[in-house]
Amino acid sequence: MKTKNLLFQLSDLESHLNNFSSEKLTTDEAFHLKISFQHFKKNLLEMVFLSRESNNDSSNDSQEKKSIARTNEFETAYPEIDLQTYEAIVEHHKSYGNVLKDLEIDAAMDEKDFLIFKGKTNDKQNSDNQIDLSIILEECMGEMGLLRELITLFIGNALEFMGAAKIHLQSEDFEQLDFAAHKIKAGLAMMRTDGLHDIVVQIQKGCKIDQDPKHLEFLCKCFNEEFPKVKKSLDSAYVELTNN
Amino acid sequence: MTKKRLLLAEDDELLASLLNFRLKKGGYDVSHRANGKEVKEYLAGTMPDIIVSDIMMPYFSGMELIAYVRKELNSQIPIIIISSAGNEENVLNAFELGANDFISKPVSPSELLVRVARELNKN
Repeated sequence: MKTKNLLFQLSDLESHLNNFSSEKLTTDEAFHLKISFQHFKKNLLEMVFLSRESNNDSSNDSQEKKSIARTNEFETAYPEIDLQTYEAIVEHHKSYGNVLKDLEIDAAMDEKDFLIFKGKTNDKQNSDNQIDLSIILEECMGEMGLLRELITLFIGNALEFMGAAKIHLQSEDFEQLDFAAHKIKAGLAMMRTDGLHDIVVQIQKGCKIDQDPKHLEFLCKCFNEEFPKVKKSLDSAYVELTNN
Repeated sequence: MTKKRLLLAEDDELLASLLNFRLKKGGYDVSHRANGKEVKEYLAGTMPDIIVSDIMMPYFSGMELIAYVRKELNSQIPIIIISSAGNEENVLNAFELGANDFISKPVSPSELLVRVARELNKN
């Protein structure tokens, strides 16, 4: 079944490659292409790394040990494949209107998938979806009013960055985009919004190194999509603190 | 006992709000300025006991501020530089120009308070 899935994914990747002109690759197309490729790559790697030992497993203990060993081997070899990528793939495929829509991604995410991503899953989910405002409240010496002010300023800064980034991208002013990212970075770190911080770090790297407008546009889009989730988490965390 | 005057030069309102609050709670008479132009105007009329300044500010950078205080105003008041551009070159430049201390962002307010007190106690 896995091999058949890979074949479907390869067809999907091929269809995406055929669907765009290399001169006019939109952000959406680039995103879809990247996701298709990553999903294919992930499953192919999994087949290569996991199939070797799968026939020998008998007891639960040895299965678990071998799974951990395989996970470590996989992560050492391919550290760049993390949960964010995986989650993006799953989310993407849930609303995917092509050949893959009939495939049950959750079903495909079997025990081995889970073990591969287990370690990173827990860490990333905590950092992405939950913001611990108690640390910041401590720095505010328990002043809820100041904490509210900081959240408001944070939201204002993020919105300002999103606006500025759009303008700088349109004018391909990478220096100013880098500066805007630099200015917001400390605030993102201060508010412990790690997901947004990581994106901004990537934007800065993109501005300094390859200066590829498509890649930067993609990163800015990621920021724009991530921000509402972070804002919601901040609001929830604030309400929770207020209730306590 | 009179409060020590502290000039906080930081254009990031988010960080400035937190630092301003904590430094005031720490017993300092804090004046906050959000850009280099305002900093120069402030320094024309008042000499604080210590300056805490960001490096990247509009009009007048933290580096320029150090040079201005040391050379133009001929003052040796302590200057603590804060910046997320905490690379070796920036740190060395700041110290060469006469900065007394350097903190990388994100700044822990408690750490800043300790460093401010330490610099003031030296004098």
